[in-house]
Amino acid sequence: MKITEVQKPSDRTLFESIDRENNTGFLSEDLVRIVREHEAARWSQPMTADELLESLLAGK
Amino acid sequence: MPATFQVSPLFRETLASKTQSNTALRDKVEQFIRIKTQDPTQQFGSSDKPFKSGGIFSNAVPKIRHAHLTHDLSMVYTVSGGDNPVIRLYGIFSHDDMGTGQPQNLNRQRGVASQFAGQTFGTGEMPTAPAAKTAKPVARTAGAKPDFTPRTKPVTPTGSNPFVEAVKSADQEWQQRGLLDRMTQAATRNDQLAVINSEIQYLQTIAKRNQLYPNQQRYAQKLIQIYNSLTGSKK
Repeated sequence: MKITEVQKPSDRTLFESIDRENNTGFLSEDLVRIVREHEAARWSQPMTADELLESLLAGK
Repeated sequence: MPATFQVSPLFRETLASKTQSNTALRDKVEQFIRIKTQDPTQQFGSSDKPFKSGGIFSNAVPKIRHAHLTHDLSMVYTVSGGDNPVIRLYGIFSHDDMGTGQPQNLNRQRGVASQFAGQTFGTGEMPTAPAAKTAKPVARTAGAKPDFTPRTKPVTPTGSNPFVEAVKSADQEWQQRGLLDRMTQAATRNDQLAVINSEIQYLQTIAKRNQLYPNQQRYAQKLIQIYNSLTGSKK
């Protein structure tokens, strides 16, 4: 087994861990997605409010 | 210094899906961005707060927060950076204060039961509440033959089954809701859970506008017990 497999729980394991104690009012599935997004760190370049709103309007 | 923003693909995905059927949400998102860029620490409504600390989720994503954009949709985000604040937008997600959107979320629902139990109640007549739907008599056209086809009669729970007794007991608290009939009609356990969930959500709606009456409080508590019974929870 690779080390990375030990360090990173599967989606199912993560879901079960979060779901067991989830009293946030959010769906556990969504919390798993947020954790995965945090780990992936696929962030856009920093934008001002105007730049962000412009990009959202443009659908970029 | 105004805050800058970073967005994730998940944010764009959820924004697109949520605003598809809710165009007013775009305005809320814009308001959120305008307010937060001026002062990231300023609350966007009273519900703008961090997730409870100590949990697996909040440990996995430190400083994660959420703020209601609408009554059931929240922006999930973080603020970091000190003098040069950066706000990261993770996405827009359904948020149910009561937790009834997810059957597994028993802790939240127990909390709501306690909340109901802790309320003070007025006296007097029942508040105006939509009664459970009842079948309307079918209008017959002149000359039409009556339909004598045997109909399947719903089986009314009988005997001393604790679950049935619990449903009957809850039904007695607020008979106009027709809980017993609806639970009898429910064909599967999931259907029964759906009935209980809808009733709990209805009570939550009432509780937001008015104080619950004593029978409604007892009805809520008994619904939670039935729910726990259905899901196999010990409490």
